[in-house]
Amino acid sequence: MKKKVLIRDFGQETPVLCPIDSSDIPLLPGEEQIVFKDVKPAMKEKYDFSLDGFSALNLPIPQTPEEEAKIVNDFLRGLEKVFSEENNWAFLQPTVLSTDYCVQCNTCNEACPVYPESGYQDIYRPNYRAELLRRIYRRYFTTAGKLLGKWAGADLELNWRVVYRLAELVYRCSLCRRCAQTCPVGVDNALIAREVRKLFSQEMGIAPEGVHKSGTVNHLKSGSSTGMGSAAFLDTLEMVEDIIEEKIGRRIKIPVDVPGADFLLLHNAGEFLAWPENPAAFAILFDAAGISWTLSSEMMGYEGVNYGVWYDDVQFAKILVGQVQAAKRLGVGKIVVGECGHATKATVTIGDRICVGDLAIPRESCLPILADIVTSGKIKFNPQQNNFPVTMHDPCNMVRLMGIEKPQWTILNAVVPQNQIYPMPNAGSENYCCGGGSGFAIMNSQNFPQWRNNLSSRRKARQVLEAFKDVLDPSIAKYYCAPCSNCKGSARDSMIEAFHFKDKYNMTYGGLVELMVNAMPGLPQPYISWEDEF
Amino acid sequence: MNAFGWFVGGPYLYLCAVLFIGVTACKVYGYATMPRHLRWDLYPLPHRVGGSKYQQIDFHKTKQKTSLWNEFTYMFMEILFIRKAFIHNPKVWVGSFPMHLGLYLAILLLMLLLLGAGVEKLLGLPVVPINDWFWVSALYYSTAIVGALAMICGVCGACWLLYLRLSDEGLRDMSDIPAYANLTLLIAMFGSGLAAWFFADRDFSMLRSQLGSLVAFSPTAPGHWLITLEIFFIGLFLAYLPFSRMSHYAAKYFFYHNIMWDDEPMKAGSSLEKDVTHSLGGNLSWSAPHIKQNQSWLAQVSPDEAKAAKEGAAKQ
Repeated sequence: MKKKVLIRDFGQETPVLCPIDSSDIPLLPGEEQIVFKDVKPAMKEKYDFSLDGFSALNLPIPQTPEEEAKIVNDFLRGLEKVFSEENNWAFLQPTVLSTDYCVQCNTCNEACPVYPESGYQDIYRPNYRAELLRRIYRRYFTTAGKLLGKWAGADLELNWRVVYRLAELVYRCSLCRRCAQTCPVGVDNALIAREVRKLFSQEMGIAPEGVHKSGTVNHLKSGSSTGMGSAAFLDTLEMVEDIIEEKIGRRIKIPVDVPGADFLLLHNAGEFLAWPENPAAFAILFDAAGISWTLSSEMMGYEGVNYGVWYDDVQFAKILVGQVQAAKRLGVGKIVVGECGHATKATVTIGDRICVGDLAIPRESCLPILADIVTSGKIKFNPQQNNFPVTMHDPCNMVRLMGIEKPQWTILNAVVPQNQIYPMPNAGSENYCCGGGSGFAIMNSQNFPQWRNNLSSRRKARQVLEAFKDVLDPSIAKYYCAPCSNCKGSARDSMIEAFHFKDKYNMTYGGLVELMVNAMPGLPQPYISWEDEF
Repeated sequence: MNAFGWFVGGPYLYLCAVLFIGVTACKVYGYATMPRHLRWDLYPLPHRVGGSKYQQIDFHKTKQKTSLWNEFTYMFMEILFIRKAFIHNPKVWVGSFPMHLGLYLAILLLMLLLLGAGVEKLLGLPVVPINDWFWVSALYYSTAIVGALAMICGVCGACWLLYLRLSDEGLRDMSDIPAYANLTLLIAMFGSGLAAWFFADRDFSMLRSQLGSLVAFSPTAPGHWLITLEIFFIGLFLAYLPFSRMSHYAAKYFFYHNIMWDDEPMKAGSSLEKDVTHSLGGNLSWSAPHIKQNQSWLAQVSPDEAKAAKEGAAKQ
């Protein structure tokens, strides 16, 4: 049942403000029931689950009035900094505008992948969390709000529950910005969610462990968010070379630390561990196409991710500068980012205004280069080797936030038979998030994965079923193509493990380069081996 | 009543107009002088002919084709027809479109009234239905038609939006008091205008004469109390507008051109680089443990470069 939660009641003293019941959630075709595991009472006593019964942040419940007051005061201090030029020049103008000009028309609501799939729970409206911030800001930082209170739209009093619930709530938005695309005014409620994430991280030190402590902090310390140091990376490359030899019958020496190469390829390092066939496929393609490229084994030079882009400008800038400096030292012509959506956006566009002076180096997505391999005829692909149904997920960061819409489809059309391409509804810049965006795919604290898999990823799963509706028969093997690491991680966790699409529909998932290599001539065996994909 | 009418029709309206222009100008100036922010593009960008530049290899070496016309037509459709609401929220559009149309027609009415006042004062030609000059007659009729349509559209649109906000549970739950106040003010302004037109000033001659007196800086009391009421609400609307979220007309430019569509690349020696370098030199006072308090961005992200820059500056 839809739970009505008025903005002014957001801080009410109730164990769970909007408990999510599995019966609220619209089932997928063929899905019988949704089961949420209960949280252990000891955990409930210690950590805050009071937003919706889930916890992404492991926030310990304050024990004294002093602790409660500190939470509120720290938040207010951070909020002031969000609206200060000195501390937040990086996003001041977009934040101020999106705070001031929402006309509360709810046009953005239906665009969200989560809100409808939650059974239309108020708290998941894209404008709800932003409206919380607006009313707090007006109440505590504007003259009208201080004097007139609710008459000036400042009707939310702060307490620690408001702060903690807001902290959790901004981690129920995947920052896909589909809502911003629909706003007639131009208001970006996802940006507000990101700025609140930043407030919590940069002022209060609150961020999901997978994103911060074992994410950016680990990245800056070890060279990769996976914790993989340089020596381990080089060992991993040997393993990738083994895979190449096994798959195509000959060994390819992956170029590493080649000075003056045309470009440095930055992979999401998670690929090497979870899906090594992906970097292997890049190496096979670039080798066959005679392209000058290199990987780097230097600290910060072999990891493309930049989790800072989701929650913390300082961590974002530190990682970006480290990556750029590694490329500069190698003397390459440019940086090319592999199949990772957020890394591409972070490195190419958002980071553009960090790369001043000596830090300037061209940065690109891998997709145009891959499309050029297809269109130039450097490799003759045989689409019949991919003679199985394929649907493609356009990663939000690439299509909506960078406008890269054509190259991936140029490739797909060249390496898969036309009658086997099953476009997803809303393909292109109006796509839906995979459900793992903005860090969700790597956030595994408490029971958050249950929320992610069952709510955040549900819309994408529904779309995949819609795309494959005529070929759902499990006797037909089918491929969900996602040229993005986070999207693949999300597919693995939700569609394969939570929704059992492999068992039910014989669906596998993977990247785009795997499909390309699978269509290359002269392979001793198919590159995509269906069982190994999991 | 005459003294009150004179005050509303003269000093009050001048004050409101000055407030409107002054506060709007200050707000626009404030937004325009905010620091250049990090990129936050949202695609598709209409000025990019052939799509995003990121679809090309070595896009930085290629001269990119842009089209201001595409931007203009996109914004024209968005502003005039509220296209996104039409596509994504039709039930709101049913009210939003006529309400905005009412405002646009009201601006057009203002221009026609000013033109009419000028014709009467400067050329001595009365703006009446039957006239030796066809264009003066046309001015008379177009003023009457545009004015009536403005009031009718404005009232209908704002009333529908208020009804929707009160009756639709989702809209009601998300609305704060200013959301209702804004619509009420719009209804009062258009409603009083409609009443003044219907009961007192079918050809807008009184309003034209009032405007003429204002332009000549010799304000008079309006010829009818309904027009005084109409002017009172117009003034209130003007004075309140820049303080409210209804002033998104001014913010919209920045939303689109400075945020969603701003894909200006960083180039060596550009003013953009200069601005960003300046911002990167500013100190941060965030309190989290991973941030060095009161040190610059540069020092946060690249301590060696910050040290070198500092030493370089000291030598100079």
